[in-house]
Amino acid sequence: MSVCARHKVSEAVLAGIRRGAPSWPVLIGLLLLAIFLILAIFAPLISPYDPWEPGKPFLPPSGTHPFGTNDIGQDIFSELVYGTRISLFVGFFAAFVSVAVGTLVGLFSGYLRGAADEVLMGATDIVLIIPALPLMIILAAHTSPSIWNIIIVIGALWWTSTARVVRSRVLQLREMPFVESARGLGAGDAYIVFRHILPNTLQVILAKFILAVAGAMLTEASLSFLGLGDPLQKSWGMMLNYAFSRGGFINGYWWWYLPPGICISLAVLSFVLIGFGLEEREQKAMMPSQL
Amino acid sequence: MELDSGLARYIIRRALQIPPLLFGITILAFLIFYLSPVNPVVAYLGMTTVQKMPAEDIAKVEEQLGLDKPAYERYLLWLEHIAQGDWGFSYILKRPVLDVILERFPATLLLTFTGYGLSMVLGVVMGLASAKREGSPLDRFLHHLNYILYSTPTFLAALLAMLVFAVWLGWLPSSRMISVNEPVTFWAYNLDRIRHIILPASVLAVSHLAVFYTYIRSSLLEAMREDYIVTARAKGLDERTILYRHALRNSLLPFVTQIGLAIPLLIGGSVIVESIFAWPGIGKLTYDAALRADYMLLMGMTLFTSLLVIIGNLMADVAYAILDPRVKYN
Repeated sequence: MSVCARHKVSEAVLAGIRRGAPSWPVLIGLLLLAIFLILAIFAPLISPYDPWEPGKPFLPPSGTHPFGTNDIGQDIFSELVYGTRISLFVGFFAAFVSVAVGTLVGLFSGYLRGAADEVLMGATDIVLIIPALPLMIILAAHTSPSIWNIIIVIGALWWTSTARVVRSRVLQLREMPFVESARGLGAGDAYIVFRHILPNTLQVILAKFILAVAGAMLTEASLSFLGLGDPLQKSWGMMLNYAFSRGGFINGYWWWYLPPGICISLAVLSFVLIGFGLEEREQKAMMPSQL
Repeated sequence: MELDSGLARYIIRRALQIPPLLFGITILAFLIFYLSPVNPVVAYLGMTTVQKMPAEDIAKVEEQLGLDKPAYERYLLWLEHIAQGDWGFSYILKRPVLDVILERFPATLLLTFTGYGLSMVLGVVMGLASAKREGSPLDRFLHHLNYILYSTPTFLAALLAMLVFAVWLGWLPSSRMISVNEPVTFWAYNLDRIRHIILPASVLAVSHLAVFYTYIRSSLLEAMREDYIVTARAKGLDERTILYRHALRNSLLPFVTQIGLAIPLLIGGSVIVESIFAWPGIGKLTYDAALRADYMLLMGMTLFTSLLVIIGNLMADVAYAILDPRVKYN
């Protein structure tokens, strides 16, 4: 193929993507997410045992225990099913907190500009600079271990990228004719920000929210694994923590540590696939106007 | 000459942004300490000692530690001490904070550089392989692999690597920086250290690969659509030369700033990797300090790692400004 022809082909492929047909990765992500949502919602119906009920320890997978049992004989499959609830719950709520904070900061900073912008972006820079994970460990170790504290800790430190993206979008939007005309009609700042500008940033925010869920689930798993999780809630990270600290790894009880590990990865993957798919579409939708 | 003075002004202006950032960070670090539920006197002397002490002695210690003063005075006092090189006293290690941090830092630097370097090389190689033929089976495979890498928690990768290579295969040691019985000869000693670093550095590299790969791939693809590439094609250069000599060079430039931005993430990664592989660096130090509520050490660590990030970002920006003559210094 000649160089020119190849260039044409890649142009055509790009145009095809720009049209925004739902891509395979996004569909796979949605399917995975649907499975995990079903597990979480119908946990009591799906899990064969009470995840807290002790029994015979270290049983390998069998007909009665599909993923075997742990060190105190709790059914690992049931733990996994209930763990879906915790992980998704923390993921969604922490992402909600972080995206809400980031959106507010971005909206005000982009719309007000001037001194308010300087202060808010300065604060964003500070939070960006301080390494988040060590700070989360410090805060999680400080506060009593509960999933609400984990949600707040993650939410409080994960908002910076949303704030930046929303701000730059708002800076574009506030100069647009429809905002001008709303202002000309006498609309107040609050009305313009929340009724005109915010709705136009929702697509960016949605992509950020989905990626924030993925990030929050990873962080929750890491904190729980490091022993900073809520001991009263069986999340997947907590299961891995127990499997590691109580010899599941050393003794080769693979059914104890592999399932929660795979579940974390798959659940995060589902959000990553959807989130990046959305972001790519967003970028491609914006491309023609930039060229 | 004109350019040099512009660059100098740029560096000075960039450096002037640092003090307000530092101010914010010190306030945050101080608040962590100030709002902590632990009584500093107990932390300093231990519960049993404090219980046996009469009330006036406790008051005296509080006065010594400056606890009777209002918050802003304590903050200023802390800043003054920091400026004098006195970063406080770690009560779990019973040693000055700055000494401990500086002693542990080289280990982290070694691990981070090795892991980071590996990650960048892999990222560039994979990005090139992808960008060579956008949409080819190899590109799609790497793109999807990248999603999986992105979704795997670092601690999980660390555990699996440890399990496979240290426990099952027994090829590599699973923890520490050097064997308990340190080898004596020069070659055996260094070989032992290399064997110890392979696992943690590889895990660190893999945990960061997704970010680098995505960045290099998209910036290569973007570069391939630029006018100068069309010109190069029109001149009749072959694709290989275009990719390596033209596109790659220009894609690596903004990568420099990317490296600066990734430092906080890398420090986070090193906390996990160091904790799992018992690597005696500042990541493990932070973790131990947080679990045992060593606030002086934690304040110092927060300040130290933030300083690293600020310096790293500044160096990346300046390097970028020097390397790319198109950058306007404003």
